[in-house]
Amino acid sequence: MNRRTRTAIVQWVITVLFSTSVLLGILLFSRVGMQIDLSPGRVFTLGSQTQELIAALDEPLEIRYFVSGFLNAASPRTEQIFQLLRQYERLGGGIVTAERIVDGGLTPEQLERLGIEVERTVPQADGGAGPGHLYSGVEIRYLDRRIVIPALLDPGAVEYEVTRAIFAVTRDTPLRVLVVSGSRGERLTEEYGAMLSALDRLYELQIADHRGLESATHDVILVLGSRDPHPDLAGLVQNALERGAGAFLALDGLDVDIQNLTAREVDNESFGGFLRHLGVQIEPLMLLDERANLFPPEFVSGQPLLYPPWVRTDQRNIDSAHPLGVNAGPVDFFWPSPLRLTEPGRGTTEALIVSSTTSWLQGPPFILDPMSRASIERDRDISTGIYALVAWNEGGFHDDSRVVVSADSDFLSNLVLYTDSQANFDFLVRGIDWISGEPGLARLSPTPVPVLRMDRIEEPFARMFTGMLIEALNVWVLPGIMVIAGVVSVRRRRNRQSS
Amino acid sequence: MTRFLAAYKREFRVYLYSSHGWIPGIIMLVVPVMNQFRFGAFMQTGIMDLSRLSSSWIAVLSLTVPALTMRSFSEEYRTGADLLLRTLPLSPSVTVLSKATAVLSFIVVFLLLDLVVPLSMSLMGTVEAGLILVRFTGLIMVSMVLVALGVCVSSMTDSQIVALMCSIVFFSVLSYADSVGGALGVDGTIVRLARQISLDYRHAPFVQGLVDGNAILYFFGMTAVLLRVAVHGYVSRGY
Repeated sequence: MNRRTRTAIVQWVITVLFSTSVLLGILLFSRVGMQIDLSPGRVFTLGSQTQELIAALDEPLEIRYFVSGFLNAASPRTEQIFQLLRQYERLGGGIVTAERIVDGGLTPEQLERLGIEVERTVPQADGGAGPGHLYSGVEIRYLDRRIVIPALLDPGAVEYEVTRAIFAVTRDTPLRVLVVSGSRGERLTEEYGAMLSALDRLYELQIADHRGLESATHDVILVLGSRDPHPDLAGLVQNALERGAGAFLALDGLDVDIQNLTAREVDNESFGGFLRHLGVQIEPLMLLDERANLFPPEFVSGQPLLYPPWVRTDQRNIDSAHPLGVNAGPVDFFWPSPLRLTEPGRGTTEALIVSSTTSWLQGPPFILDPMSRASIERDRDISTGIYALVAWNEGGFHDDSRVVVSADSDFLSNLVLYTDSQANFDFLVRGIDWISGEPGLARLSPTPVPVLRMDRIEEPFARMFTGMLIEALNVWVLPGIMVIAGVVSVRRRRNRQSS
Repeated sequence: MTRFLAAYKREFRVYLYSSHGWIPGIIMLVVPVMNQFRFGAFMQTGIMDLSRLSSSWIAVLSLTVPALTMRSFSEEYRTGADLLLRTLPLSPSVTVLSKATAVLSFIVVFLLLDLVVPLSMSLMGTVEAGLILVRFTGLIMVSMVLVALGVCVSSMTDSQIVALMCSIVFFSVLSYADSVGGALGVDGTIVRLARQISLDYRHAPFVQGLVDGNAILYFFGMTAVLLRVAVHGYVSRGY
């Protein structure tokens, strides 16, 4: 063997050994998953609830993110969403896979069959291609089960939605929720359709009348309304609670006719004994608050008006010491009544959400017309104060029983679509999780991704001028200087060479 | 070390005094800045989103780095200057390393100039320094791999055009391996494997402000392997 061949062999051996050992090292250390999150608001750091849930997985979990090509290219949010999904993969250490499928050759019909919400865009007037079909949804597979998040566009909601979905899909027995109407003749699927479809994704949902309660073995009973309850309803709910269920009671103090904007008191006597045992009483009054939502112009002619019977609450109104109060979003109410808290027959009862200091009560005759501002404020001077809107009870029927009571059922109805009160549904889902004994999940809530704004200069002209200067500096001045520097440098060398 | 520095300075000067160094450099400076300011009405939105600055970097680097690296060995082979290079008291590793480092530092100079954007934008509002730092780190990492790949390809051929074209093809494959797999509808293991080697996939967390330890390991590992192959190519040409 000559020297040339020997050197060639040695070189090949070194190259192959070196490359193999480096690639093996990458593979071995890739399981460590070290990461530092320096993003604004540390949005990519998943919470302890998610970490515990992923750590408890013993079978592979597959997360598939379906996103349309146009959205993926146009919106930086889709990349944030995918990076958040990759955090699940990282936490899983091999047991979780996160995959992004951009377009993926699926037709809108196929996507809809999968459960992904597809928005069909109108073709452009000039005959251009346009963005096509828009979608951004997630499918999660575990064993032979699957769950779909039909639309996911807000990175701040990813952990909230995905962790809940993982919890739901990995439970061997899904959490069972029984929905019962407390207002006879009311069609729940029409009045509460949006909320019910949100619940249906996460829980095994059953809608029934009072008879469904007789032998119910559900984890949570959700009672919607109390305008005309069956006389046996309260007793049957109590029996279910004694058998080990929990309850979310969205009852009413007032019966509001939305078409004519009139209201009458609701007789909650059939629930009376049951509520007294919980230490809660619903007062047949209307609670109004200066911190209110706008009344939409669809209901009255003219402009939207600030409407005190549509009460807004935020973090300040919620008991932050309670698991349901941690990171809670703003819950909006529609013509609510106040709750009076008394000593419960058993367990502990406390207010969870209260009105602001600028709230007041109105007794009959009720004035709901948003144009009659003076009449709406009729009883303001004599009743201004802070009132309970939602209360919780723990241990009322057995040691682990949990109940949440509100004196407004409309806050879960389709009315939320008028005020875009998505947090109402989140509050309900968190409430159900708390009632069913999942305190970790109850703490989960959407976290807004911080948006940094150009707000250092307030004066509009100065802001515009500074912006123009910055743009000119970066787009023209600096590249211009570099071009000149380059030309000078190259010419100098040429001159030197020629001389 | 002294020998390495001397070789490094010599290589750096080649880029500093030649148009084939400045033209890609200025393209690297201008395209991301134009992408940030001129497309998407950035100043009108009032939102301090500087992601467009770094989002175009991989595409820009995929085209400009081959232009910078194509001459590193090919030109020496073509003119016969490599014979002179081999007579110098430099080991093949030091020769390859000095060439790669010279290109990388030339790129870093232009990357640093792009930091003028967040610096000047801090007059308008709060700029997340941590996020900018992570994005900058990510770009250096990607540049490192691309430079190593370019030098590696250049060490195999004496034709600059072949080096340029091969580098662009390899860069594109390496950069967008996962997207190609996804777009073709390839499922399962192949896509996952493609993701593991995809620069774009590894770089994406840095754009969001995440310092990913696995990605750093991958960037350094790939650079080391590619530089070792470049050394192999350079040594093999000598016999």
